[in-house]
Amino acid sequence: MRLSITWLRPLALAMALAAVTAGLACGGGSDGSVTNELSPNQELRVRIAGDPSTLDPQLAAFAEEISIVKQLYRGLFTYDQNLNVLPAVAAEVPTIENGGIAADGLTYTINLRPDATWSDGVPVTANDFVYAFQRLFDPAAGAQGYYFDFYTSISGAAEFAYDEGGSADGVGVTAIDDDTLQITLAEPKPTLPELLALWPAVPLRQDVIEAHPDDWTAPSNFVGDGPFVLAGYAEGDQITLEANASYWGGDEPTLQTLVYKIIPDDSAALVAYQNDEIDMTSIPAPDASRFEGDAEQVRFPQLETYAIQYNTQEAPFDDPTVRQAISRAIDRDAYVSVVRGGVGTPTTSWLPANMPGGDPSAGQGLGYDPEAARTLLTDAGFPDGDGFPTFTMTIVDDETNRTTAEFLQEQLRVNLGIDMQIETLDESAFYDRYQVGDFQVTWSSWFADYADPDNWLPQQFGTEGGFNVLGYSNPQVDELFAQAATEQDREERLALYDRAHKLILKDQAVTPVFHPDTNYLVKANVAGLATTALDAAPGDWFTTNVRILQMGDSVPPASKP
Amino acid sequence: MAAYVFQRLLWTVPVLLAVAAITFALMHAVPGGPWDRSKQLPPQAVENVDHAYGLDRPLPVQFGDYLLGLARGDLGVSFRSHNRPVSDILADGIRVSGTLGLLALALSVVVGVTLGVAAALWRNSAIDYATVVFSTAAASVPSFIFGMLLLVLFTANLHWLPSGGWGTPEQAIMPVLALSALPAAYIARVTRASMLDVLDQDYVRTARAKGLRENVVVLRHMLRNALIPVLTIVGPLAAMLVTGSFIVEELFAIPGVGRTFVTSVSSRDYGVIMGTTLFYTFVVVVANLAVDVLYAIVNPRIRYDSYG
Amino acid sequence: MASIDAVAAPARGAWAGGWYRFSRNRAAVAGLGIILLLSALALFAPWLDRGGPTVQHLDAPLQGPSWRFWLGTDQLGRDEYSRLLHGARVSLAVGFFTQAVALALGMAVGLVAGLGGRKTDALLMRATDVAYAFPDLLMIILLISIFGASVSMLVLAIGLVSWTTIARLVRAQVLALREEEFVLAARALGASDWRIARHHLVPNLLGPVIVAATFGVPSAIFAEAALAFIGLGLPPPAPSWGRLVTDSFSTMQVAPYLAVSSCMAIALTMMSFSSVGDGLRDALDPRTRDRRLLPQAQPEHASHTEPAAERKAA
Repeated sequence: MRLSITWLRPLALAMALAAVTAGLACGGGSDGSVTNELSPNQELRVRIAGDPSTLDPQLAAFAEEISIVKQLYRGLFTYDQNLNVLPAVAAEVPTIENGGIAADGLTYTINLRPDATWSDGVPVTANDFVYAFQRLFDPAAGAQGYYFDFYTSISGAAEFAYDEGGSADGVGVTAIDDDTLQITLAEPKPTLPELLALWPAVPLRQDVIEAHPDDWTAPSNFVGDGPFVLAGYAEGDQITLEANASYWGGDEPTLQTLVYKIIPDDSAALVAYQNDEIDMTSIPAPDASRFEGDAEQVRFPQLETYAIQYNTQEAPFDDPTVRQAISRAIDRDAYVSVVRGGVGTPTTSWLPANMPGGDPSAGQGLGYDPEAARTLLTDAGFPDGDGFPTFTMTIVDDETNRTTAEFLQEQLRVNLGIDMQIETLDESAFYDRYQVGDFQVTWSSWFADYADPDNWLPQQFGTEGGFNVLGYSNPQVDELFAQAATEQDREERLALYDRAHKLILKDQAVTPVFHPDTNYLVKANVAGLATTALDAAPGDWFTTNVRILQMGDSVPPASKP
Repeated sequence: MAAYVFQRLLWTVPVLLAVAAITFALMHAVPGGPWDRSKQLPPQAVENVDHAYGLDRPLPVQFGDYLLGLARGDLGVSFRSHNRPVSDILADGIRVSGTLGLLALALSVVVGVTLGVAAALWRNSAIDYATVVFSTAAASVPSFIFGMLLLVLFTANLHWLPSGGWGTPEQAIMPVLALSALPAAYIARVTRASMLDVLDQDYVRTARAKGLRENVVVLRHMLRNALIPVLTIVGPLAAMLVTGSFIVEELFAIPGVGRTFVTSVSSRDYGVIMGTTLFYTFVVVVANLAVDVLYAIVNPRIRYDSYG
Repeated sequence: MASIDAVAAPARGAWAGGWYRFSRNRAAVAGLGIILLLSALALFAPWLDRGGPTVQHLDAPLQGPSWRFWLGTDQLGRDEYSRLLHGARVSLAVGFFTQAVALALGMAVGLVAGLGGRKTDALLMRATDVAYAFPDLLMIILLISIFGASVSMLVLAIGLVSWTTIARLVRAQVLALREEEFVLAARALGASDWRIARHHLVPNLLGPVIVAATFGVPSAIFAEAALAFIGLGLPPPAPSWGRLVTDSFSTMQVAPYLAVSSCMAIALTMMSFSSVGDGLRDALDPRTRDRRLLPQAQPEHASHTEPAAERKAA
């Protein structure tokens, strides 16, 4: 399975660049007062916006949950800084060549490191994985989460999770002996090693969970096999992690303590950063210009695309010409510079250019051009917008979304002469309707779980796709997806996705507008931060790299103890 | 009097039941459920998790079950906070919000009464006008703006105070200020008005005519009477303050019950919504009762017979 | 029937005298002037603004005050002065109509409870207890979440949590007035309950009720701002003061003038309504008119108006 590694090459390059840039930004403190000495106080203070709903790795799904869980557990595999798959608890990455993967691609035999241990000193065995996977598909446990269906190609998994006559014992994960794990698949899944490197696929301790079924993630009961252990949790205030003294992975952290400070408000978090209470925080869009080029700024692209989405089943947005007209009426450069404070990349492409299968020129024929936009709208039967019905954009009520909707509203009014209303809902009410396609037009983004068009196209744009809320259906596109799903050759597969992607853009099933950047401030004395495009918070895949440097003569702003 | 208080307390039970029923009905009428978030839960997972929390049962059954739990003192668990019991969440939040609220109440009474009395005694003086300006400003600048102003000044620029959190005295200063501005303004206004009313009452004139020293007149005769109207507003103010302020708690990252309350509604965390609502209702009812009783104590002209 | 109208005289006299007393109160008159001015500005906003409240100058975002933009521009380069003017329409409308809803509901419940039999009274007052104890913020959030955010929904929701005080006030007044001579006289002359309410009770109890409502207007404007901060504001792009002040929050370190102008607008309104309210109370409220009776006990129907409404804002 060399494939899985080479896939990520182009991405890796971009990531390496980002890592270097971040390193530079951190190295050169603005006042030049950072030394190369390690600080005696190896503590990194990270801001999170709210309490994690859960610290159960099988249920963790949101940034603050994922970020923390990643530090607490190691699964079979992990990523290197270029997002290549590396062995973690596994002794090596299985391939067909080394005999780890059977020729039919259905059986994985994985040898485990004998020295991997839990934080209480007990060895990590194959049985811990067997238990974890049985739990992952258990309707009373992991199958209440967001990610178990990444792994339902494992035989018996779907039957158990979907309550179709399966059982825990039927899940195709077995322990040959303490150090050998066997995974049997119902269908080939070439991306399995990547998926097994993600947080939901970590081992779990049956004895601990059964002893404390309701609070096994409480600090007093917690047992993990990652570089950090859960040391304290003050609800609504902060979560404290400490270096795991019995960590075995070879990437033992320099940091002794990781503190997650809960600060709900973005502006207040920025103030906390300015007062040296936290070591990193995101820069709110209105403040972006103040910190652009600041020595403490860390900025790198995300694998995320914001787009105008349509209900393509209903008039007037069932007409691709109308959607094309809208795409040509949006000044994306102005959007990024005004609404996003210049942070991000204007785009006409759904797939980010720095992703495998991405193409920077995709969709450029439908970029901003008010003249052409009006012509298209005339072609659709609405000269100067005459007769175009008033329609509604439904959004989640937060400030950026509101400003975005107001911007788009004005663009469409000025450039096309059409009237868009804005409807604001809270998150739950919005997604309740969004998931069933109950909207005319909306504004939403897709963020990569893993870096492959496989995660970006078939589910969203296939007629039967699980996340196709658009009602979009194009038989040609479906056909290309079907071919790509079974195509073994990577280049050929990406080419198929590229053709589908361009058809989708030509149809303007969605109107991509921009790819956001992660834009953070990181204290000058935080060194070794390595970011990737899959980070929930900057550098959270490689927290073990981070070190705190000694400050020089110039003392940082006074902070209260 | 005792019978009256008992009757009022007894009446709390049907009020709480009615509030519980209304809340339950309304919160389930709100579109969207606890699992409708920015990431889409697989449909099977929705079924599994609904079943796990009993949300797949008919609403009347769920409500009945809730009431039975309530009778046993079981408020259920939070969907959004790793299954923490709602009673734990409430207990923690109330402790924090209660402390913050009582501090703010104390500060606003002290500041408000002092300003109000001073403004009334030196009517149309600089103090009087300053009080008017203060109470207008404090009452019309929203607490999030005032709080942010404090943060930018004392934390971002002067580095005197921590930006937020809860536990040390330094951490309490700005939130208490932000929270007490509005009630202090209000108390100042009411105190000033009622002091002016008392100023030309017969008994004050009599006291003065008897040659009592001015501060004795002010303290013993005027303040005592002038504070009766203030007492009536302190009850609702106390209820408002100790039940927590979402805005101040959100801004200063304080783990209080006000924040819990508002986030539970937006996250459809049904158990927490019910728990916080019942707690709020109880505080309001008790605060009003306490005011009425206090009122009777300071003003013997009031007699309570039966309630209704 | 002329004789029945004749005995209603005390109320009319109170109104005339009230106006005289009010007009002697300079602060109150100034407040009224400002309110009228603001209302006029709001009414004629489309003719007084500079280019419209939603027109975006994408080349001039977050500009400080200048000759081109008197009060500066927001993040999308919209003229803050124009937005404030138009915001006055929304915010004043929310303030006035909210109190209208509260008044209508409160008067209706209070009158029926006061005039009805013991059972009706008990029933209505217990319902009022429940409504009073119900957390205002929760009720507003739930109603807006169910029915969506719009000016009319906001008015209805805030109105629905503000009527209890007025209902109690009205009921207490009715109970007191019921025993007054002129009412007894009217009843003896065969007037119906409805007629008594309309001709004798309403004019007499309107004073304190209007005072309560006057204090309620700025509270409602304030509540709208708090709701906008929580994420339950009116949908854009229509500017309300609550929206403007909320938007100014995140740009406070970059464009503090936006916070200043929107807060000033709210402060001015607040101050005007307060002084008008004070003036009206002195002029109309019979309790303050006759100072010998002060301080008067109002345990059940004490003036909870402001704190009760401000609970939303906090």
